[in-house]
Amino acid sequence: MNQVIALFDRLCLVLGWLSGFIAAFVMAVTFTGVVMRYLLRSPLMGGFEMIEIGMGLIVFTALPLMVRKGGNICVTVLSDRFSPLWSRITTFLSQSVGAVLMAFISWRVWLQGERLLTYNEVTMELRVPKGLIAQSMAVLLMVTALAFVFCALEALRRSQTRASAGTGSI
Amino acid sequence: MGVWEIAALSFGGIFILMMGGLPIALAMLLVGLGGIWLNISERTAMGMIGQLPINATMSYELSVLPMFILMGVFVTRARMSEDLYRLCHGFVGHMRGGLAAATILACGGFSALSGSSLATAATMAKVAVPEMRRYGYSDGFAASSVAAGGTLGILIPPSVILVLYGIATGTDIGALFLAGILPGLLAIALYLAAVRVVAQINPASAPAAPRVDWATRLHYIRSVGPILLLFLGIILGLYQGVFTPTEAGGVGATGALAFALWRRTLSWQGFVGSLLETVQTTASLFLVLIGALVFSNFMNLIGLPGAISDLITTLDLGPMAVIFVILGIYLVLGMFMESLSMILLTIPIFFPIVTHLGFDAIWFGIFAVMVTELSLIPPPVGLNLFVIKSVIEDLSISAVYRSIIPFVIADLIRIIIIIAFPWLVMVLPLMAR
Repeated sequence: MNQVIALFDRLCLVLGWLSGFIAAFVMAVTFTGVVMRYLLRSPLMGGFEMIEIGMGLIVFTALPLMVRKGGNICVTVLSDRFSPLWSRITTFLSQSVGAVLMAFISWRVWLQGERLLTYNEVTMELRVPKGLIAQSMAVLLMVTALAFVFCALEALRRSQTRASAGTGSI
Repeated sequence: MGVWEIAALSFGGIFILMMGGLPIALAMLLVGLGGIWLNISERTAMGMIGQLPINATMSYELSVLPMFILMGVFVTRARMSEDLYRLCHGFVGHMRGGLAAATILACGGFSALSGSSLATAATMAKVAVPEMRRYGYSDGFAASSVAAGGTLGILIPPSVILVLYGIATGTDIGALFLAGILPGLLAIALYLAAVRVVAQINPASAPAAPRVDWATRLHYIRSVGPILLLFLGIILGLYQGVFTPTEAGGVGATGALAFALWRRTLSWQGFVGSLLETVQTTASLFLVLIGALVFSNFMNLIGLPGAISDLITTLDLGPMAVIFVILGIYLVLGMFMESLSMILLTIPIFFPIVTHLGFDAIWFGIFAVMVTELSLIPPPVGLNLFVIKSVIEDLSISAVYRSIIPFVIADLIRIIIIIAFPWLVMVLPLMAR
């Protein structure tokens, strides 16, 4: 079981790196767009769409790592005072709710992707099939659901729950 | 069930789930989705949840969020906090309470580069608290000044919460950023006044440090000059309409990266680490945003905004009375919740009311952020205090409780000023139009 979790965490980290490099790409595209518009008097072809698609992918590729690192924003004013047993139970329940919700959303987004593929919908300039983008998001949401499942299992196995408070707060 | 019963059950449900430890995003998703399924139709719930995550994330405007987060992370890695603090210390440290004043000013400067209060408080605590301790400042006063200064992070642009407010309400993010500048400066002025008052009442808690000569001061200015120019460039660019907020974020992040590389403070691992930190924060915020949008749609579908408008008309409440009721609700909620949760949870109700009453969406955004800022410093939530405690482990939180009062009073005065003189918020966005 530990090996499976370690392998899954490695997958989450690789996805996190991918998300990070997409963020760097979006930064570069945005900056290049500004430079081209003001210095070369010519906007970057497809820049707007690259940023839009990049944004969607940044969020969904980073979600599994965020969940595994306990980055969800929580209100911990009460839950910090729970007994260890009660804390394990509530963590297990909340991570299970996360898993079910993410799996459900993943299914609905996948179906939406199928619909978009049926209508042959593509982006305006780069002609990227919107259905493929949606289905990539659905797959990543399913990985996020798995991340919640592993967190739930860990809550059952460990006496100390993963600290989810604070790390993701603003 | 009527609108009011459904709304009360939904808010109660979210509150209980959050208090039980369920992440806020999941609580809003669960209640919003379940509510639409049960009260509207299964088809509406299924259709919406298939489309909303795609539409909410694939947005050009929203890329402003990771870009400004990235800028803040690069600036932190470039160790700007130390230089900013040294600069402010050099100019005001020799006065009584000067190091606390320097902390407030440095927090204000750092807030101009980072959109997060917690990041500002955590970063500045590492630099400022040990220095204040070295000169004999009381722990409570030192930590309070960092906790209060940290709240500037979500008011002075760029601000993560203002971006999310702008997205959730469809308000111009650039205008919100400009609107935050004067209230941010007012906050700095009032915090400095609070420091002055404490230093007068209890001089032993805030002694003066030795005066720094002008050659050293000029050296300090040179070390932070480029990054302050970057901030000024971004703000002027937004003001003049040269950049969209997204472009400002992209230019700011690129400039901050160049700055960190120029100072040789960013290795390859540091660069990858910055990217990872940015995308995790972004993912966490977007999950909350998706939850908030689902919940907001649910409230709209059951007709809550209309019902509240009708109620206000029936009760014949004036606009100011409504604003003070909202202020009271935020102050109570602030005892249990942190700022982001409060804003996103209450926006579906408060926003339609205040805009219906004729208040400007930009003014209300700044007002709401300022009121929720209050929840960041005093106990029992006081997240900034706990962040400082996590950085300065031997700090006693109980020592801070009394010292925080002057800063809370400064915040309350600022809120009253903003209500009495709304032009303070609106003047810059109006001039930029």
